[in-house]
Amino acid sequence: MLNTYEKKLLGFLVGIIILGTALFGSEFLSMKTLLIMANQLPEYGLISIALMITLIVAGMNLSIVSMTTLAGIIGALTMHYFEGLGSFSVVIGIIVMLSVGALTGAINGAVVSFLEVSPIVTTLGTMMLFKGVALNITQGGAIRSFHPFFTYIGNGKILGMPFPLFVFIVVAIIVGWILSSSDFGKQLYRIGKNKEAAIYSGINVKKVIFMAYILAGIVAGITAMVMTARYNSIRVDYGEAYLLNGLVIVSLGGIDINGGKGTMKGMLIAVTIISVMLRILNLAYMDSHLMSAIMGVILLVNIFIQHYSNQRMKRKIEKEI
Amino acid sequence: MSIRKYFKNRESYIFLMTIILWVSISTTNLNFANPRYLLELIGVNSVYFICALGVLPLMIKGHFDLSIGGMIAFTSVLLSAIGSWFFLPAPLVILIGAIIGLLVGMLNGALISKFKVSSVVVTLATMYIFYGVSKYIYNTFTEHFRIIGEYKIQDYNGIIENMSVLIMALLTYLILKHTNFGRSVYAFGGDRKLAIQKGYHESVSIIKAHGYCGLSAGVSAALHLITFNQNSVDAYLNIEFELIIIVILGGLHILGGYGTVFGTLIASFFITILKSGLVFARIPVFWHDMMIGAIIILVIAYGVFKERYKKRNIKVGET
Repeated sequence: MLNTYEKKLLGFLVGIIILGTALFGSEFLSMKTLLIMANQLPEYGLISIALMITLIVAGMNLSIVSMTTLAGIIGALTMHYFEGLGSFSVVIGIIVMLSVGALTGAINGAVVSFLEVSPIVTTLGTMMLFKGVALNITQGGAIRSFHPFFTYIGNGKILGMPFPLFVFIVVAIIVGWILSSSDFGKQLYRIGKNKEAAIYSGINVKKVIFMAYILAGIVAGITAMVMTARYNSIRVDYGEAYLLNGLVIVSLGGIDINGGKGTMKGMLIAVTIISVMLRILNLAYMDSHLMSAIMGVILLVNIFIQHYSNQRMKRKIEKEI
Repeated sequence: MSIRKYFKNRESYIFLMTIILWVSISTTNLNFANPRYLLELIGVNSVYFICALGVLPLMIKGHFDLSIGGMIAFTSVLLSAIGSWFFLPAPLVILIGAIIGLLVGMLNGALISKFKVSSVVVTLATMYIFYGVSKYIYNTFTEHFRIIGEYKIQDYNGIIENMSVLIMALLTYLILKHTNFGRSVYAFGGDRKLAIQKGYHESVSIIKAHGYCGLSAGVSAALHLITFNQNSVDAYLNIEFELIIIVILGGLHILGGYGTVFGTLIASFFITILKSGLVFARIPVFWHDMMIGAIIILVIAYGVFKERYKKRNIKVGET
């Protein structure tokens, strides 16, 4: 089921849970912890999924947060515009959010795949561009108060669990299936591993990369929906820290920045590790700045562990030979 | 040099655009044309100039450093802590800052070369650590900080910032052109395997490049303290992305192997006058990000089309 890296990661998670239980006992192993995690997890997770798709094709998406806020702002404005239509306006708003996400993704994808510009440069440019457009539309203010049907998406509960968690799970399952089982997903991994070889094996590389960025854009649109609904408002600077946190989660989850590696399962375990860790630090009344320092330490520790276990494995193989 | 040959340089376009921008803003507001003002502008924005020069060797190698903002924050906290105990003249502040930055940067480089991971991942981790630690120190010991800028010798009056930019530019030029390290940077940026075969030591080159980047961050932290009499813990939160933009506008090849000091200087100057020029031309602040983003995409797209045109010409010539 799980590959070796995922098993190690799972071991890491179990270790952290045992640590938490040892330190805080029943306070840690409670329903409250689960609920706090369930509230925190979806937004980080969705952003990480969007990042992951582009990283697998050896790309990068620095504009992911700008895409999210832009989609949220335009969707919010349409919802206000069609306010008279009642709950139907919510449907229109969500469709607009998803399509703005897809459109911004398509812009990124077109520049990266057809013009063959480096993805880091492209998305850095579009990061500023989308942020600028969003800032220009809102003039820096927030857009507030939506139809109750819409806020249910962010704050409603099913079986005692928050609704965004279910959105996240559904997206994770769908994207996970696309990556692991569909032809499109397999092509993504092949392009990420070796682009030249993919071209010679007859894959329409440009089209696949383009589609990957659009898929990431749609996930960004879904994130916009969850984020706007949860806060019941949207502003340009919402979610600014998510990009770097998303990168931490993604690289902890074993997704290679150079492309071609990483699975949805690894990413899911990484998100859980980060949110368990945040909960433990919260219980320890840790200073919020030190908390972010510890995020960095986790990433470095993970690099150490990976390096040494890889070396040990190499030695083992050499001995066997 | 004929005009046509001149336009084959990657830097020529940004140079031309800078002049056009400068002239067009000067026509709307004559104060902008005053050279004294320009020098002052460079002094105030010296951090951008110096850090851009510092990342240049790193980016020619095809590496990134996301932890520059973190290193600036860390160095500036340490410097103001030292300044609360001892009296320090401005040049000494810069020297101490440079040493702290150099050590911190070399730590980055050592981690990258030891564990053979992407520079993005390592510097992301160290960014979190530097920011977190320096903000924690700053918040918990605030009352112990006396601001180091109080000891600034008044006669310098902005000259020290301009001088530092000049010295840094000369230093970067000399390093890139005339040292073994500089040659190894271009070699690794062009083709890693070839560079190793030529006998360049990879981990030494990585540690030196990251160390130089850290040095520039340390120097700029010191300069920020001297110029603004203020700690810069939060001031340069997203400077990494802005630096990447500057260096790329300056003609750097993102995959590595090409980049010049002249281009980087011009591009930093371009971004500086663009930022303050938009204010001078009374363009609302809501347009600024959008315009910078649009300019980057235009410049990049232009470069792509130019390269395609060149390729097509070669093909026609061959057949």
